[in-house]
Amino acid sequence: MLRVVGLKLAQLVPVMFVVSLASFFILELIPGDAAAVIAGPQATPENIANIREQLGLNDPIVERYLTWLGNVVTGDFGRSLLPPGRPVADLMRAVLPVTLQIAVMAIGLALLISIPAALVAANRPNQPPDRVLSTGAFAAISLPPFLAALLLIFFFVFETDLARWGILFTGVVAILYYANAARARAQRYPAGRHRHRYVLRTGSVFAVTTLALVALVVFLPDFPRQGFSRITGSAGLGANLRTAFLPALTLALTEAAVWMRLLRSDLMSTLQEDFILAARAKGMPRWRVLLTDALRPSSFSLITVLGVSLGRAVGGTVIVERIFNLPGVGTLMVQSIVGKDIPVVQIAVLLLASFYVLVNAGVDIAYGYLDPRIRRGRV
Amino acid sequence: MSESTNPSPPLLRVRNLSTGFETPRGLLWAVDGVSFDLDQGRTMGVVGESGSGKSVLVRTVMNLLAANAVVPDDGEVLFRGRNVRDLDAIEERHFWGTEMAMVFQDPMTSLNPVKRIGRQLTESIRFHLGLDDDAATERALELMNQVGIPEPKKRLRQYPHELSGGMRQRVVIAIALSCSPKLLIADEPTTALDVTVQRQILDLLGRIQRETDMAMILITHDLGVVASYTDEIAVMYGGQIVEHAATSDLFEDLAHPYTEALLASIPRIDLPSHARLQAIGGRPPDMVAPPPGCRFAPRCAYRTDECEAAIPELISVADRMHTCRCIRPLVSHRDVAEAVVAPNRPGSS
Ligand SMILES: Nc1ncnc2c1ncn2[C@@H]1O[C@H](COP(=O)(O)OP(=O)(O)OP(=O)(O)O)[C@@H](O)[C@H]1O
Ligand SMILES: [Mg+2]
Repeated sequence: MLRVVGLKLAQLVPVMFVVSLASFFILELIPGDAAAVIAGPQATPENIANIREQLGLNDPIVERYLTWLGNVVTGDFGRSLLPPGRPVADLMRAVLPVTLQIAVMAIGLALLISIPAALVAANRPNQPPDRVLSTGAFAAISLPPFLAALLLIFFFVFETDLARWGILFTGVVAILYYANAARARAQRYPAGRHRHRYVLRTGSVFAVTTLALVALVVFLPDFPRQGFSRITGSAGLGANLRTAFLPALTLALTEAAVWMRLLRSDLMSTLQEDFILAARAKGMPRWRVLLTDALRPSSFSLITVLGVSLGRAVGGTVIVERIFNLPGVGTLMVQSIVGKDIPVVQIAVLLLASFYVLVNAGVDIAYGYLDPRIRRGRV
Repeated sequence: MSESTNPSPPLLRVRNLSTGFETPRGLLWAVDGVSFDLDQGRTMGVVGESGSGKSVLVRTVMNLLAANAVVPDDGEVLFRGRNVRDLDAIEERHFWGTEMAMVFQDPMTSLNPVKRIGRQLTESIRFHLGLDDDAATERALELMNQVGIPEPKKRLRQYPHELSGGMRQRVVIAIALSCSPKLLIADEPTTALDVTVQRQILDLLGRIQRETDMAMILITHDLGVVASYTDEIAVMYGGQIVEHAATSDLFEDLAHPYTEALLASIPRIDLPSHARLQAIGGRPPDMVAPPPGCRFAPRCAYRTDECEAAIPELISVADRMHTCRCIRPLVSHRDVAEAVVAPNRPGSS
C-alpha cells in the first residue's frame, strides 16, 4: 500500500509543475501592460513603475517564473498589492482553515446523510422509505444553494420551534413506520424465548432512537445567523461548530442528494449480481449482505464525485460565504480578483489546485483500496 | 430406488410448485406445476433448454427469488417435512447454507471480487457454526483440502481474480459445503469452465456427494453429465417437468418426444462425454401466453390435433417411477409396434 501511495505521489510531480505554471501565468492573461491595469486609471507613472518593480515585470519571464517558484517553495508567498500590503501567507492562513473546516464538515455531513439513505432506499426499492428519500433528494437537487441557505436560516435561526416540530414529526413518522414493520417481523419468530429476545432487542433500538430524537429536539442548539468563530477563538469548539454547521449543511444538502441517488442506483445494480445472491444463499442476513458485500463494490462513482465535490467546496463557495458572512477562500478570491491583487490570486490558485490534485490522487488510491483488481493493474 | 419400501418422507418433496414473474407483458409462468421427490443421498439431474425454468425452479425451492416473483400458495416445498415458505425467522436464518446450499454457474461472478477468499469462506462458518476466527480458518483450510485446492494457506489471502476458473469453482463448492448442507443444488456448475476442468469439478461434486451422503440437484445442459453423475433425471420444458425417470430407464425407454429430440441432437447414442444440446427446430414457448395444449406440440414430430386440446397430465409409463407428460408416449408407440410385429416374429408367443 505504501508503495502505491509513493508511486502516486511521484506521478504528481509533473502535474504540480503544470499547476504552478498555470498559476503563475495568470498574470499574463491580463491584456496590455499588467502593471498599468493593476494600478488603475488614476495611477501615477511612479505607481506603475512601483508595481512593475514589485511584480518583477522588468525581468525576463522565465527568470520571473523561476524566482517566484523558488520563493513559493521556500515558503515566501509575497505580499498583497492592496493596502495595507499584508503578506499573502497571512491572508491564506486566515481564510484556509475556515474554508477547509466547512468543506470537510460538509463532505462528512453529506456522507452521513447519503450513505444510510441510499442503503435504506436500495434495500427495498419503491417502498415508502425509498419513495420519500428519493423525492426528498430530487427536491434538494433542484434547490439552488442560496435558497437552501435562506431556508435553513429561516428554520434553524429564526423559526426554531417550527424546526423542532418538523424534526419531531418526521422522526415520529419514521419510527412508527419501522415499528410497524418490526411488529410484523416479530410474528415470524417462534413464540416464546426467540420472539421475546427479538422484541427486547428491537425495542431497545427503538428506545434509543426515540431518546436521541427527543434529545435532538429539546437540545437543538442555537445557530448564529452569520459569522464565524474560530476553533482557537475564546468561545471554543462548541461555538465554532455552531457557526460552521449551517454553512456546511447548506453545502451538504445538494451533495448528499446527488450522492444518495448515485449510490442508490449503483447499489441496485450491484444487488443484481450473482455474488449477492450467492451471499444470501450462504445464509448471510440481508443487512449484512448490503453492508459487507454490496456497499464497497458500489462506491466507485461516489468516490469519484466525492473528490470533485471536496475540491469544489475548498475552492470556495462564494454564495455560502457571502450569505453566512464567512471569512473564507471564496470571499478572498473574489476580493483579490476584483482588486487585481495578482500575487494573492496566484497563490490562492496554486494552493487550491494543488489541493485538488492531491484529493484526486487520494481518490485514485481509494479505487485501489476498493477494488483489488485495480490495485494489481496500477503497480 | 427403494422409495416404496421406505415409509419416511423424502428429504425434499415438491408439490405442484409454480413460479411467475410480473413482467410488463403480463405474468410469466417460469415454473408451472412441478412436483418431485428427492431422497437423501441421491442426485437428480435437471435438463432442458435455456429458459425452461431450471434456475427458477431451484431458486423457488431455496426461497431465493427476485422481488417480482409470485409463488401461488398451493405450491409446496417440503424440506424434511417443513414447508420452506412457512419457516419462521430463526429457522430461515439457518436454512440457507446449513440445510440447502447452492453452487452457481459462473464462478467469475458468484464470488465477491473485492473480498478475500478467506473471508468469503469463513463468514458463513462463523455465522452459522459460531466458530471463532482461528477455528473458522482451520475449518476453511480443511474444506479447501477436501475440494482439492493446493496451497490453501496462500489462497485464503488472495482475491478471486487471482485464481483460475476451476479453482474459483472449487472455492464456491467449498463455501457451499462449509456448513454441511443436506441438499446441494448445483446450477450448471461447469458451463463456464473449459472441458478438462468440467470433468474434474463434476468428479469432485460426485465424490463429495457420496462421502457426505447429501442429496444433490444437478442442473445441466450436458447430457453426458446427466448420464454419468445422476441417479434420476427430470427433463424440463416450458416450466414443466415433461419426463422424469431413473437415469438408466430414461436412456433405455425414453417416453417423451422432447427427450427424444434432446437425445437425437447428440451425435451418438452412447453419449460422448461432452455432447452439447443442439437447437431443436422451432422456438421454446412464450411463457406469458403458452400454447393451449402440450407445450411442446408446436415443435413435436408426433403432434396430433388432440395434443393441442389440453395440457397432458404426467402419467406413469413403463414403470411407476417413470413419468411422462404426453398423451402418446413413445414407449407406447413402441409397445404398439411390438404388438403388431410380435406375432410374425419367430419364436415369440
Ligand atoms: N426476475 C425475473 N423476472 C422476469 N422473468 C424472469 C426472471 N427470472 C427468470 N425469468 C424468466 O424465467 C424463465 C426461466 O428462466 P430460467 O433462468 O429458470 O431458465 P433456465 O432453464 O435456468 O435457463 P438457462 O439454461 O439459460 O440457465 C425465462 O424465460 C426468464 O426470462
Ligand atoms: Mg439457469
